[in-house]
Amino acid sequence: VILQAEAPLSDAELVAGLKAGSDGAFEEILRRYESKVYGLVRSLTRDDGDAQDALQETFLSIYRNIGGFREQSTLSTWIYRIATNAALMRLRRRRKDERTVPIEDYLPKFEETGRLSAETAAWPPGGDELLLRKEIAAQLREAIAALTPAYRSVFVLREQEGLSTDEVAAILGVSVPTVKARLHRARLFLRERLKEIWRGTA
Amino acid sequence: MKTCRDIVDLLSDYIDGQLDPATRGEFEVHMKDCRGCLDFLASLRSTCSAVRALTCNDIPAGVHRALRTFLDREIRRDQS
Repeated sequence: VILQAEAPLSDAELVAGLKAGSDGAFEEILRRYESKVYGLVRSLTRDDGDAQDALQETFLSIYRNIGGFREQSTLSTWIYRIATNAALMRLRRRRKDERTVPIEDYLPKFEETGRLSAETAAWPPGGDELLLRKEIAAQLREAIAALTPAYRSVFVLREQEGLSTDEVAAILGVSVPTVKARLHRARLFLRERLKEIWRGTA
Repeated sequence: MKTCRDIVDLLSDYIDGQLDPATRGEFEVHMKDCRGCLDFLASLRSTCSAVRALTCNDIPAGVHRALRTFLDREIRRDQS
């Protein structure tokens, strides 16, 4: 007898199942999204305890509030929105995240003529090759952690989670131009911050 | 004629392939003559690629178990 593999349930079918009270549907949503949600809230909070709390809150909220999910967005956008809010709430509760620095200090500098300043244009020799090395991961994470929450949330969702500009705008409740502007400034910041980390002056 | 300041504003849209053809034309004209912006673009692109290559945080076994325990407890409480 050849057993035919069943086609995996679509997200819409899982939502219908969970709304009907199926434990199997919730189990499958957990299986599909647990690692993604953890990766997201860990990147946003940069803290193991906060990440664990935000993860638990997210899935309990999915279970309790599925009845109110109108399916105007996809299941993944809805889940990412709940998870992002849970993580940002914890960041706000922390009195001060001493690792963040003002983004304005790291934006490109120009001469009066509008020409790029030599200081901004500078890039260490071999910098591109350095970025390909595995050991750089810790420095990159350190630089990302220095972004303030408004920029970090856009950056993590867009660049690390690979979501589209439209999805990120829907998740964060901001406009598409805001997402694009924040992503751009976050990238400029990161490049400049990395230079500082390499110089040992960060 | 676009200055470096105008061009730097467009770098992310260029990297993401979101410039309209006319603006992209102006962008590329500037790049041909400006070593500073060309190097800036290359280093910004390398930075973005390095970030995308960061491996995501795998969920630790302890966190996975704690999530199951937490949900079992809370859901049972909801149902009782």
